[in-house]
Amino acid sequence: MTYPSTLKSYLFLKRNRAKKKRAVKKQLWQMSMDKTTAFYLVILGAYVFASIFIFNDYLKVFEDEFIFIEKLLAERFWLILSIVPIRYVFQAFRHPGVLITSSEYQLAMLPHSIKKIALYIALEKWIKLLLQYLLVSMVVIMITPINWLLVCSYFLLFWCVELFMTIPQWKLFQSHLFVKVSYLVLIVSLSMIGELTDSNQIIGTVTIIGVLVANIYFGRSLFDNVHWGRVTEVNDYLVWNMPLVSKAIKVKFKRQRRYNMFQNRASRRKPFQYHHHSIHKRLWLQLFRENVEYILQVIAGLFSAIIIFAFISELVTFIGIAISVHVYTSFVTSIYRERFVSGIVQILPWDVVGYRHTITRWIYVGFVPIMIPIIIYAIIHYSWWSIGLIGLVVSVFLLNVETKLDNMALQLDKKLGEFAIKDFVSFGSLGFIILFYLNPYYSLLSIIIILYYMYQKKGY
Amino acid sequence: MLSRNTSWMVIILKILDVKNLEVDVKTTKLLDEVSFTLNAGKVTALVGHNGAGKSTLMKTIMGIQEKTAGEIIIQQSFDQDNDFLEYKRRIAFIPEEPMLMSELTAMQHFQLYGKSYQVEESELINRIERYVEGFELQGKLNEFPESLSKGMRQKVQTICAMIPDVPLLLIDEPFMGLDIYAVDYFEEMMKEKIERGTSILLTTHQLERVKGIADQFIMLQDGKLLHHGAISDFDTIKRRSDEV
Repeated sequence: MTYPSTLKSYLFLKRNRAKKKRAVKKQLWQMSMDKTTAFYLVILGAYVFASIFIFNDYLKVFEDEFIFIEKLLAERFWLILSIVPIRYVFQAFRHPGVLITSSEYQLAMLPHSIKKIALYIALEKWIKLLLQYLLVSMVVIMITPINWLLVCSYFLLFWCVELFMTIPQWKLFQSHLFVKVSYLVLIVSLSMIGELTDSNQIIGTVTIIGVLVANIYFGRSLFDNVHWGRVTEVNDYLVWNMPLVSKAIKVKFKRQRRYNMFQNRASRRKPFQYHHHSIHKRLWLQLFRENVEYILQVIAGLFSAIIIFAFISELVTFIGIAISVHVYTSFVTSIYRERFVSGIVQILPWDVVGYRHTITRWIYVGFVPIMIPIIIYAIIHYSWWSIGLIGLVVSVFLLNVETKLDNMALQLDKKLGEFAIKDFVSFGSLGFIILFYLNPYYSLLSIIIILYYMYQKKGY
Repeated sequence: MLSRNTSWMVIILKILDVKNLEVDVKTTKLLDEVSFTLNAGKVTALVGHNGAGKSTLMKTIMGIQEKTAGEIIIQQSFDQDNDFLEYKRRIAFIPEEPMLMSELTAMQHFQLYGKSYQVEESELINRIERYVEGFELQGKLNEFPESLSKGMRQKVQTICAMIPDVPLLLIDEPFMGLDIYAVDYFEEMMKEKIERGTSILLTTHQLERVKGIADQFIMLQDGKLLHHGAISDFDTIKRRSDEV
């Protein structure tokens, strides 16, 4: 009896996946670019390249930096060697490292071995990375004065770690959270000991031996106790999540989170106390977990933006603070809406007031990291008006949150009417933050804003 | 809360009023000028080929699918366009595929439904006990959906929708994934709801099965209302190829 070729079937699957992705990207390209724009972009790219690499003697300009980097790379080789595997242990918390999606898994339902398929996927990954690292190394050797032997050593270091961490990452992904944390603590501690005791070479060698032993040890039981549901769930998301495409076509590629690390906790299985708070809390936490990347991106982005603005100029800082308040309040309002239009809640009656009460605390907590650089700024430029600035920002934030949540509640009830006075007041209050730059007396308006906020809040 | 003894079924005969409903997605017309009414305590079977627009109609009534034109009114007062929150409180929906959350156990789902429809705790517990016994789900209350079989998940979803007393119950493929004992019990549950005055709109391909429960039928074809009338007048759906 002849058996069908697993490689052929796998390549057939890959070809069709690539075809589908190409079609989606082509659609995006056609939506966002025409021939004229593409032509001008090519001209611009050529100009940038020429100005940096042809007309400018950048080697001379950055000579000191290159010497410094080369020195650092040579000195820190063993430290970097012991640090690089940490990345894969850390990744094992979220990614299995071998892209077996539900399609590859279904292929294994046919007369194909999952072991063979996994091997092909790993081989493909290693070859792709080999080519990428080769290309990067060649470019570095060609355009920088860094010693080629050093570049080759790092090329080998990164590619070999990538290769030999595939099995440990795969097995760690399947392990209990405690095991993952233990390995992470162990490997981080080793690197720290190496650095503190100036024995990076010994620690680096220990790390290499440890990784090789892990490969031999885990290699024997690669496919024992594999949580295929989790593996395919994560990989489906990784393969099909195309941020640019989803932004352009306004369709979010959501990860089908069917599994989470807290699900096995006995406390999660207990029936709720039969009141809104405990039920809503769980639903909010579920939504936050599902959107954790976006939430962290927005908060970290605004936090960093305010810090960067502070180095530009005072006026830009105040404009940045006002924009941050506006962006954050708009973002949390969209999260509030998302709760009603996703999952099971969309087919239930909407308790917009109850859900609003339970999310408010989280909204305030999320604003704390954004307030930190503002408070630091106020302390650095300390005067009695610093307190006024903090009061103004907090009052404007409260008013904007309240107004936007009010509007969203009305929108959910399909009752949002014309632009109301409170919309005008809350949006206009953002301007007071900018006006504070001209005259700090404007911070006294925070008293009026707070009174207006309390008057509005009485409605809820 | 809509109590069990409310008299809305006596006073209000017209539970659902759909007028000139249209749903477009880009250039495709999914529903075209669909109009019908449902009276209190009546069961209407929504029939048609795959892709006729049955599930779209259900989703549009639920408010999940945005409509392009037309009106949907419940109990002659609650318009989907003007009073959406109150409108939603008057409908319960059983989707074709269970929409359960991975983070909630079966019991937590029942509590979520109970609280959303403002069912008293004692009443909720009574109903859960009865339905869980009827569907033979004892011992599964603290299980997450992933630990349940497809049929069990469907039972959990069915119990969820049966917990509240609402004027309108929408059921997309009621018997999907249920074993014969569960189907019998589900029919019992539906009859109980009908006696209390709930109107049921259900889509099904098992026409023989619903002939005993349904009073009327609505037949959709390519998004248009083709026929409607008493279920006794309903003959059969022709094959698409025979219609050409």
